Amino acid sequence: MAVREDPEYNEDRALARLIPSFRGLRVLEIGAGDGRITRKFADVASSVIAIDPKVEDIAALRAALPRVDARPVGIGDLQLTRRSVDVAIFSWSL
Amino acid sequence: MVDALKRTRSWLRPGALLVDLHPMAAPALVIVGDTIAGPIDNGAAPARHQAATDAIAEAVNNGLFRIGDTIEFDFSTYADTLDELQDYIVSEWREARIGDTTMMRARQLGPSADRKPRARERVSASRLVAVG
Repeated sequence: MAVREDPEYNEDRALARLIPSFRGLRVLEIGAGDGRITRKFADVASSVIAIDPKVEDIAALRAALPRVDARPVGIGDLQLTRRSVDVAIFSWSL
Repeated sequence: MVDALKRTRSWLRPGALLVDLHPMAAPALVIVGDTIAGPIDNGAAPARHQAATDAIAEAVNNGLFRIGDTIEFDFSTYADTLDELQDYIVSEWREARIGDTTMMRARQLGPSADRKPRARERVSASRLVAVG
């Protein structure tokens, strides 16, 4: 199967307008799935926590982006320190 | 959804940012070339997407965030054939499929290598600033 998502890169442009640079930022991504959006900032962010309740998606994300702290949990089960995040992203998950 | 935003707000430092990407309430469409074949049947998705929009508005009204910027864009998923597109939507989207009427119209539009079928969603993207 040859399925291509967003070959026009409209999502990339939208994200770049909203957050021009992720460099040095502590990022929390909610609903990360297999990391389609995570890839756009994982290399430059200071740290990335990516969560999704789908275990198989998080396994794929972890394999592709090993420096990401990928957790197979929903937001209701996530425990984080208060005021420890610079950018939170709801990736088609709200 | 508002609870999720409240919970997330507690993790953000003051002045930090929240980005929300979610499809808009309008139905996703099947398009062949530049012609709309029809809507995709995606069950309760439009209501869920509207609820997300409402939750953002409520969080802003409650003083958790202020709006920094909001934009809209098209997100298209292309397949080589209509059957591939149908299989993808059924397997990857929640409770969605291309209904018979839209599928028939799409076939009539003659998808080809130069006119690949696609599913087009309209997406809202917002940057919110944590208040307080």
